[in-house]
Amino acid sequence: MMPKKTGKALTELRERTLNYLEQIARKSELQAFNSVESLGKLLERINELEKKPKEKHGKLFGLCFSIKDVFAVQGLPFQCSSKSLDGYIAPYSAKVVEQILKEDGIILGKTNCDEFACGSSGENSAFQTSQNPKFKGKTCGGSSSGTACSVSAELCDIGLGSDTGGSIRLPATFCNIQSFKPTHDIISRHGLSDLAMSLDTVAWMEKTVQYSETLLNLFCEQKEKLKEKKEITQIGIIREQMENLDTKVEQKIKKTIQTLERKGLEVIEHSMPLQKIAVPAYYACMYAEFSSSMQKFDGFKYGKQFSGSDIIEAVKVNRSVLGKEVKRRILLGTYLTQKEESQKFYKKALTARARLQKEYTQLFQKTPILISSVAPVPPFGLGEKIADPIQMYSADLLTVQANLIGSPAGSISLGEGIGLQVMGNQFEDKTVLGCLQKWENWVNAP
Amino acid sequence: MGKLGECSMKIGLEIHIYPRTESKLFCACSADYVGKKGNENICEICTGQPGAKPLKLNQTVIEQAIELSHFLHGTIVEKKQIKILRKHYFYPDLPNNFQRTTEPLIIQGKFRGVNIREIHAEEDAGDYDFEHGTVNFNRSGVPLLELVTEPELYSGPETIEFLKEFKYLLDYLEFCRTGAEFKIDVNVSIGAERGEIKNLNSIHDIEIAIELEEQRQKMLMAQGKKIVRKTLHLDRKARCLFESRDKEDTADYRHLPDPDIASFAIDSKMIEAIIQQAPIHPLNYRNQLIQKGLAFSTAQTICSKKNLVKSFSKISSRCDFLTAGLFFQKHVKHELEYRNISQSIEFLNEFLIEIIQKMKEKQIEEMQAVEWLRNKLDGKTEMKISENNLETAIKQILEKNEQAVLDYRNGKQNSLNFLIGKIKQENKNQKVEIIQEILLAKIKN
Ligand SMILES: [Zn+2]
Repeated sequence: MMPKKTGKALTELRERTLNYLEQIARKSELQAFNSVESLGKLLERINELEKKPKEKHGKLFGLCFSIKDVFAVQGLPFQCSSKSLDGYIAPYSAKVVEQILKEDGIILGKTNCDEFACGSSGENSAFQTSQNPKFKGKTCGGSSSGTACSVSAELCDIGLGSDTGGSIRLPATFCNIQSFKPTHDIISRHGLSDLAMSLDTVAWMEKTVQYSETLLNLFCEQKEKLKEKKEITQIGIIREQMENLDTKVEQKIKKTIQTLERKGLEVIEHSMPLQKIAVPAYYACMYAEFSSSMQKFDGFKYGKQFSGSDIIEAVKVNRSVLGKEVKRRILLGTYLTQKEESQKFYKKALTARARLQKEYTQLFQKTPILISSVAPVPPFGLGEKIADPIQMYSADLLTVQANLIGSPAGSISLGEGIGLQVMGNQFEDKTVLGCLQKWENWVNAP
Repeated sequence: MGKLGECSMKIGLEIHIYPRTESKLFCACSADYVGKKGNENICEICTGQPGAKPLKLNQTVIEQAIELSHFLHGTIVEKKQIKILRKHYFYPDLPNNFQRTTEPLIIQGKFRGVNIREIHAEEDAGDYDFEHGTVNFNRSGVPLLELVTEPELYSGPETIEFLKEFKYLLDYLEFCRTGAEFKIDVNVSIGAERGEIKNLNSIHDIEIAIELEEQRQKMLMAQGKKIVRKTLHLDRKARCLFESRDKEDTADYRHLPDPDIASFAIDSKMIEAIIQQAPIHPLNYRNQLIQKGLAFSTAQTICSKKNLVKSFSKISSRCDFLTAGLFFQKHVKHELEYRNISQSIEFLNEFLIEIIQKMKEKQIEEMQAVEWLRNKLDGKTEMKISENNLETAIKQILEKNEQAVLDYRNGKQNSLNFLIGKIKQENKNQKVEIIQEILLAKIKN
C-alpha cells in the first residue's frame, strides 16, 4: 500500500490508480462493481491531481474509493442495484462524496449491494451477485457486498458504504477486512438513499484500520459532540450474545477474549435478557421507515419512465420490477404504519427500542466498550439462506443493536470470515476506533 | 343564523396561507415561485431525488405562525419537541409521495367568534399539468400555513364575511406572498356527513361552491337519500361540482414522524420577542375608531395598513380627530400606495399634525395640505406653512386693495367678487367657498 504524500506520489498515483482499474476488469467475475468510472474521466482526474503542488494535497490525496451504489455521485449511474432505477444518473453528489473529492480522493466506481440495501448476503441485487474473494462459493454478506468484495480483493483502498443493521460490519467480516460505523447522524446522509433513516449511517471498510480516523474527522459534522479517546482497561461482554453462536465462531471469540485478557484488559460479563427483542424491534422500525422512503419511487421521475392508465396503475407497473425482499419490506412497513395497526406493532417496537437504549446506556456506564462476535455464523454459501428470510435476518442478530441505539461500532477480522465487534456509547467513536487500531494486531498475532 | 332550523348548515374551513418567506420550507430554493420559468426554481431536495435530505425547517415560518396566532388569540404550543410528520399519498405533483407537515403550532384560536382548531406549517406540492402529463416543481416545498376552523359558520354569506375580514387582517399584516394568497378547502354539511370542496382560491369561487353544495345535499335529503362523505372540486366554467377521482375520503395517510429532521422547539422567549413587535390589532382598533366617531369606511381604510394605523394612533390625539381620520382616508393612504411606501411613516407624524391642525383651523385648504404631503414624500423643498397659508395671502391682497374693501363695506357686492378673483388667481388650488368664508370674516372685522 502506498504511504500518503511521498515524494514519488505523482507517478505512483497514476500507476496505482490504473492498476486498480485493470484489476477491476481482470476480476470482473467477482461482480463487485455495478458501474466503473470511464478511463477518460479517471485520467482527467489523475492529471488534475498530479498538477497540484504537494503542500496543497488534500487529506485523501490519491486514495481510491469504491462507493456503494446507494450514494449519489454526480454523473455516475445511481441505481441502488434496482431495476426501478435503471438508467438513472445522479444529478447531484452526496455530501460525503463531495468531501472525498474535495480532499483529492479518487472515485473508481459504484459497488454492488442488495437492492436498496435490503439483505444480508448481497443476493438481493437485481443486477449480479458479488462473489466472496476469500471463500469461494460463499456470500460476501450484505448489504454492502460489492463494497466489501472490492476492498478485500484489493480493487480499491477504501470502500464507502452504509450500515443500517450491520450492512458494513457483516460483509467486512465475511470478507476478512475491517470496518467502522460511526455514531448515527454525526455524518450527513445527504445523498445516501434511504433504507431506514433513523438507523442508516455512513460507514466504511479498509484492509487495515488506517484511514478511519482521517475519514471520521473529515466527515463528522458534530465534532463538538465527539468525546476524547479513552484508555480502556475494562471491556464488557453480554452473556446472551455468547449464546447460539456457531461452534467455530464461539471458539474464535473465546480465544480472542483470552488474548485481550492476556494483554491486561479486564473482561466483565453482563446479562441483558432484553437482547431477544433487538431483531424484531429492528425489523419493525426498519420496515416502517422503509415503506415511507420508498413512496417516492413511483416510476415518473428517475431514469426509465413507467406508464399506466392512471397514477396508481403506473406506480404498480414500476413496483412490479422491484425484488421480492424490497416488496416484502414495503408491504410489511405499509401494514405496520396503518392507522389501525401502528399501535399494535410499530409503537411497540419504538418502545422496545427506547428500553434497549436505556439498558445499553446503563451498561456503558459500567464498561465503556462492549465486544461480541459480528455474526453468529461464519460466511454461508450462496443460495443457502436466500429462500428463508427468517434465517437470513438472523445474520443480523448481533449487529442491529448498535443501529437501534445509534452508537459507534466497528469490526476486526479474526480470519476465516469471523469478526470481533467493538461497540461504544454514542459519540465515543474515537475510543472505539482506538480499540480497533490497537487490537487488530493483537488478535491476529499467531 | 339557521342554527336552530331544520336544515341547519354548518361550514368549516381549511385555509392554506402562503406566508412571505425568502426560501422554501426545507431547502435553499427561493420561495418566490410566481412567474418563473418551468422547473428553474428547483434542487435535489424539493424534487425528491433519491437520498436527498431536507435542511432544517425554515424558522421564519414558525415566527410568522406565532405572529398570526397573536391576532387570532390562539394558544401557541409551547413545546420542546414539535415533530415534523410525513403524510403519505401518491400524486405526481408530490415529489416524495409524502408531504411534510408540522404538528399543530397553534391551537384554540378565535376569529370573529369562530373557533380555530389549529394552525400548522406544511410544504406545498408542485404543479401538475394533467393534459401534458408534466409537473412544474417550482412551487414544490414552498411553505404553507394551514388554518383549520371548527364548523361554526352557518351560511354562505357568513362564511364570505368571515373570509373577507380574515383577508383584511392578512393584508394589513402584509402576511402573504405577492401573487399567491391562499387556497381554501370548504366543508359543508346540512346533515350528519359533510362534503368537502377542495382547492378554492377566490372568495367568489367559495361563494359558488357553498351554494352548489347546499343545493346538492338538500336535493339528496329531499329524495330521502343518505349523504355520504365526499371530496369535490369546483368546475368554474360549468358551474358545478365534480367528484374527485382520488380516494381521499378513505385515505390513510400513515402519519410518521420524519426520521430525517429533528423536532423543533417553541419557547416563551421566542413568543415574547415576536409579540412585543406585533403591530396593533386592526379589527380592535377599527372598533375603537368607530366608537370615537369615525365612519366605518374611514376606520376601515385606516386599519387596512400597518403604517397608517401606527402613525394614526400616535397623532390622532394631538390634532383634530375627525379631520385627521378623513385626511388619512382620502389622501394619506392613496399617496403612500401611489409611491409604494409600506414601511413606517412615523417621520411624517409631526408634519401631519401640523397640516391637519392648519386644515382644521382653516388656515389652509385640503388641496394645499395634499400638495404639501406630496412634496414632503417626494423630497421636494419643504413648504413653509406660515408663508403659504391662505389667510396670510388674503390679508396681503386686502392690504393692496383697500379701496375694494371700502367699496364692499359701502354695499358694493361686485367688490367682493373682484377680491375673490384676485385671491383665487394667486391660490388656484383653493375653493371659492373657502376663500369667501375667510374673506368675509376678515372684511367684517
Ligand atoms: Zn429546492
